[in-house]
Amino acid sequence: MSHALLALQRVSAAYASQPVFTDLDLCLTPGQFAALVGPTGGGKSTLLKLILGLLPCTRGHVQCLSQVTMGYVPQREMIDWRFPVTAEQVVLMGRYRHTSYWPWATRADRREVAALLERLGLAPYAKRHIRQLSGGQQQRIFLARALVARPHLLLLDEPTTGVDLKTQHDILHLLHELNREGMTILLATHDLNTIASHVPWVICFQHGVIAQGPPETVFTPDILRQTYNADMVVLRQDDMTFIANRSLAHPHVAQQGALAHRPRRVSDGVLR
Amino acid sequence: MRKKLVARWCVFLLTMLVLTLAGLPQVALASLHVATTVAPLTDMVQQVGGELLHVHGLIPEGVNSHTFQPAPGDVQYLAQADLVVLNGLHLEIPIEKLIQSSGKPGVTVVKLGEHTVSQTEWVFDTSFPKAQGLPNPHLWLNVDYAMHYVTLIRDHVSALDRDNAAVYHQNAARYLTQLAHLDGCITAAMHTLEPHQRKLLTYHDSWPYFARRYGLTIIGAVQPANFSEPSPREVARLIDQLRREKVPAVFGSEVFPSKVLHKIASEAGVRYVTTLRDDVLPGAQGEADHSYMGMMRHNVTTMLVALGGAPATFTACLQEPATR
Amino acid sequence: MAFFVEPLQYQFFVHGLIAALLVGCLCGLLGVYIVLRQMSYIGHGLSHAVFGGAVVSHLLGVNVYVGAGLWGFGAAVLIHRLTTRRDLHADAVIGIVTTASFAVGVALMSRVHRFTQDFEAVLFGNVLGVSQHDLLLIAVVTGLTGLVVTALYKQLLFSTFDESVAQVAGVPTRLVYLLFACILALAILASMQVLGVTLIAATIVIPAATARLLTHSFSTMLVLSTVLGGVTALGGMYLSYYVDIASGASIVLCAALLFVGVLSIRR
Repeated sequence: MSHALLALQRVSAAYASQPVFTDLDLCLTPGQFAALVGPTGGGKSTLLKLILGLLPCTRGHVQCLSQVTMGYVPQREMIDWRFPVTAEQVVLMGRYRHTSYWPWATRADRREVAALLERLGLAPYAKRHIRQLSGGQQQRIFLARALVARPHLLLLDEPTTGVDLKTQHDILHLLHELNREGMTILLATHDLNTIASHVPWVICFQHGVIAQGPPETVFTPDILRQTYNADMVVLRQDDMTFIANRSLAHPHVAQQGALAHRPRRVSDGVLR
Repeated sequence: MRKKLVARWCVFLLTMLVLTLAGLPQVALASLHVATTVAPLTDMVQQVGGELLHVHGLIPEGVNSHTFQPAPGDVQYLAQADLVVLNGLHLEIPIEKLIQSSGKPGVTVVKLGEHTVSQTEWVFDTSFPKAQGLPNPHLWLNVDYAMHYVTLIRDHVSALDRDNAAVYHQNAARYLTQLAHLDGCITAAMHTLEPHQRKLLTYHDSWPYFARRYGLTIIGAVQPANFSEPSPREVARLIDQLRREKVPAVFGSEVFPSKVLHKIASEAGVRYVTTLRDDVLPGAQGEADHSYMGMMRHNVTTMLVALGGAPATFTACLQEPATR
Repeated sequence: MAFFVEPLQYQFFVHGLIAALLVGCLCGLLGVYIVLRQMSYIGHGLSHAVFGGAVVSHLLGVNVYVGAGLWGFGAAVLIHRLTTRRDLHADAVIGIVTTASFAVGVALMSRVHRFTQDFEAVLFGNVLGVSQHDLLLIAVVTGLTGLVVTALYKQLLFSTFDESVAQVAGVPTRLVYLLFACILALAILASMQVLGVTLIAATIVIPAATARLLTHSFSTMLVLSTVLGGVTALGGMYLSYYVDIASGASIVLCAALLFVGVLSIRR
């Protein structure tokens, strides 16, 4: 544990006096790129907030290597989209740690921000109000806000939700690049398929760690059933992995006004 | 044996009867419970009743009587009261409501103001506009009306406590003499003021009946109806009027500290006096001045000093003996 | 020209005009933060909350304004704590804390019959009765607020926009809020002395809301709101003189009319 960037030892957390998880042990090594997967309400966001210091732990100990700065990209629902700020102003906010005492942005600040926006393909949108951006652009702006501070550890809450597949792909590739440059990344998501193909380490989480490891090892029907309390189908073809919830993936047809399962034909001829 | 028992019981009962009869005069002196509202009324009742009455004033001194809300604890006084003495003329509406709900059945309620002036004598002004139908209730600052209040009080307590009627009449007669003397002294004192000095601009509008009696003119009251704000034009008008008519002083109120009136005074170059009182008795409980007469003496002296009259004449007049 | 000059012959009007201008700007400036934090009721609420503080401090023999100010500061801090820690929205918390605080004052007053002054008259002033001392006080508070808002521009912006992320990014959010609550309490106390209670809510909310309709930029909104606050205060004062209505109400009317005007243009 001594080489860990972040270590949680027997940590318990509660939210509105309801326990979320108890006696959790988890650690992240420097340069790790991990995804926290699990169902909604399973405690992923709580865990992230705990690590960030936004929530206190009721028991246990969160230990960080000293001088570790963290960056946080919150869920998109948490953001006040009507706030009067432009894309550039949002990213400038992130520069807080490195900026001077002057109340206004310096030339150095603006240069950093411009360079980052360029890298993320957002330069043309710098002066636009945040509500005028597309989902993918908004996600990247808030990512830029976290990145402009050059954090050692980056935490993202549902970064691929509400954006199209291409954007999801782009965001994860960007995260890969950052990881190659030495950033430790932990992201929380419920989107299994994208993770299966993009992230090297998965932590299955449902009020506690169910299992962790590379996707090939962790994405098994057994572990996924324990995590999601549902029957999951895992299909592998070549080196691609596809995961679906069995009961939801069955074709549902309209029968006399109600949506129901189409009965399956089984080989012995009996309808079930 | 039985006869002895009966005899003993008879002796016992007789003794009890004698003792009770002996105790009766004390019961006969048991106080009438009177509830009043503002301090001047409380003092008047005490002057008439002395030790014979249990008097309780419901509105503590210095509290705004127009908006006073009785607390549930006040109910106990009302429930015990045989007589409730109010000023009336809508001064004490919340208390009137409380009497209706919690007063002793058969309690006598007397609204002094309503038996002292007829509707034609009601004063309406900017603070108590005619449109709202509620007249200015501050009758007691006119000593002549106060004397009428005292006669009403005397008559009501005498009717309820006939055994002590003679005492009440005696006390009232003595008090009325003193009040008549005070009335005369005030009239004389106000005559020492020049016509241009006989002008009153106050914050709270308590003085119209006083002004009418003693020959003063009310220029205005800064506190408008419903305790709202005066408009800038009204303020400008007052400043211009004060300058034009060379009024010596304006009178504020300790209960309503008024920055607007202070401002008017300083811009018009007149004195700003805050010590006039309409329902706070000067001094502490028990001091000679802590009474209605003390309050009126204090008020008139303050006015004379501020308006440029002769307070010495007033003091000298008061020291002369009161004659019938 | 005579239109503007005529009322200026009266010193009370000149003082009132300056006071209204300063308070209009002050509340316009702070109003941006209040409106964006969705705490618009706090102006009205705090001006009632400080009543409780004034009564308590009178009973303890402490200077009424000092006590009221500290109490107002405490109420603002409590509101913030309850809003962030629990599943409660700011509007409900403000309603609870401020009305309870006011009720403490009323309850104490009815229980302890030692009050010889109308407290509301002490706390709530009138723009037409502004003394030079009041003007100095309001100028100092306005200057102080301007200084704090400028020096802590970045911190206040980030905390107002997204307090959790600001904390992670290194902004001392708790300290920033404490300072903000302090100047808010001071500003409200000073404004109440000058304007009375009807105006407070309006001067905090309306210019900021109007400015929001006119710009997407935070810094522009700050400047616009301050300017609009000052302009509507001046307009309101002149309106009250010429139409002969109470100054407080006319300033509010001016601000409201401007808002409606901008709203219909922006459509």
